[in-house]
Amino acid sequence: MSLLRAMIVPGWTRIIPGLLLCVVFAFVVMNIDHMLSKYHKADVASTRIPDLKRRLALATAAGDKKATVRLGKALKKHRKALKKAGGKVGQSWSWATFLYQKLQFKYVAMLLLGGILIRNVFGVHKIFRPGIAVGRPLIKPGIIILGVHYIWSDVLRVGGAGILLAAVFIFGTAIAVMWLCRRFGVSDGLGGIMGAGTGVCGVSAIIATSPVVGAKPRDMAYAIGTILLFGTAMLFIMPYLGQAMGVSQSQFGAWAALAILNTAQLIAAAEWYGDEARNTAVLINAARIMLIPLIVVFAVWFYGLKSKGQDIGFWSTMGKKFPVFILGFFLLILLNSLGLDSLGGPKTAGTPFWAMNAVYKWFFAIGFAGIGLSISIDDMKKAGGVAFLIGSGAALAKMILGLIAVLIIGSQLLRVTGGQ
Amino acid sequence: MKTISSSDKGAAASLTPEKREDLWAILIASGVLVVCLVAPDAIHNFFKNLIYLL
Repeated sequence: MSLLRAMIVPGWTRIIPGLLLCVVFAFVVMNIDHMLSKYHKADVASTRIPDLKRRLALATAAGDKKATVRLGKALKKHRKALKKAGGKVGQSWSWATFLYQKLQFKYVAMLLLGGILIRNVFGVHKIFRPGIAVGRPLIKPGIIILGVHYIWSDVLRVGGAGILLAAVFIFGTAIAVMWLCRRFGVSDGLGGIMGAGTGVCGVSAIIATSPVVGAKPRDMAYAIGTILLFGTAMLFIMPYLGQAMGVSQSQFGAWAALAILNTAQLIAAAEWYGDEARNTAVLINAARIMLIPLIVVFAVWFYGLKSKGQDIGFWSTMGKKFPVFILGFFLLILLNSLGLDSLGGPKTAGTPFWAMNAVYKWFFAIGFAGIGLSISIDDMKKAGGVAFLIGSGAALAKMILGLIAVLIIGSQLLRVTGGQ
Repeated sequence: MKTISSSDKGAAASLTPEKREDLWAILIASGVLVVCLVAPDAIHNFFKNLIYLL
């Protein structure tokens, strides 16, 4: 009963206006995204159908059964796309292709850019702020539901590579940043949380490490400001960089999970790049955030901290700081791996997991709306000074080294198959 | 104006914000699973078709 009471924060009704704003914003943008996608697919179909018909006729005449079936399926898919847009072969919707494919103007970009624009140009009344802050973590149920996309062999393969990559980059970055901060006279409090934030997982790691290293509220604002600024920049730059360099979907997912410092932002970047990228990013991020308790313990050791009345033993820290929602994610992976008929799978029509697969994107959309609407340029300006330079330098180094690492590892080890 | 009781404040303080978020996430995902167990076709149709007006 007391747990139930603890779940409900006093004054919870304050979140309603902001949460509704996130939901409405997400609804509008998802509809625009759906419309752009529909006309883009119709545009592609309009040009491809004549070619497919010709090739199908050739394949049928040649008696190539495999090609006939494959081409037949593709033709059916394109005809369906054209019918949805109410169009005919020869019609063009190049504006949709330009926006959706060339500019990658999808729901992720619209929610983030739109949210930033609304927040910083028009402003968001303070009545909405509590609800917007609640909107952001709604990405977590989306991540849990995404568990239906994976099976255990994915976790062992991609997760194994991910844990190794994550451990090397996390501890390498944290050590480098903490050492540099000490070297340049930055306070232990700010250095500790910068190390945790740029090493592990941005804001969560900062919040987890702050009380242990005695960081001041101003230090937290600097650290969070740096993380947000860099995370936002990388979120917009990396997908375009990745496409320009021909980085594969799974490689990009791994790269985003290593280089972008905030769960919500890295999922946004990976989702923007593609479904495969997102699947890999979520799994590697799961490996990364499980290391948050370890980085807290590491900070204690690095700064030679005494307990100061806090219980900062290893198991106590693990218990307090472990991201519990990840257990839900792994439970769904386990259930999917069992292949139960009663639950089905994300591609098996009429089953619960198939239905859940239709839902997760909406949690992401509300979460991205919350992110966009909460990015204040003023807050980001709070980041400054030596700690900002060190943190940014470390984040940039991690981005470059992470890219090199995923290019060397290659796509296969990082690809989530989902049992397909 | 409604005042917040001290016992309510105490109960809320026993969970960190992150833990509270995580538990709500698990609760919401569980709710989605239950609803999808009961009516998978309706849920799929709603989120893939009905909800889109454009």
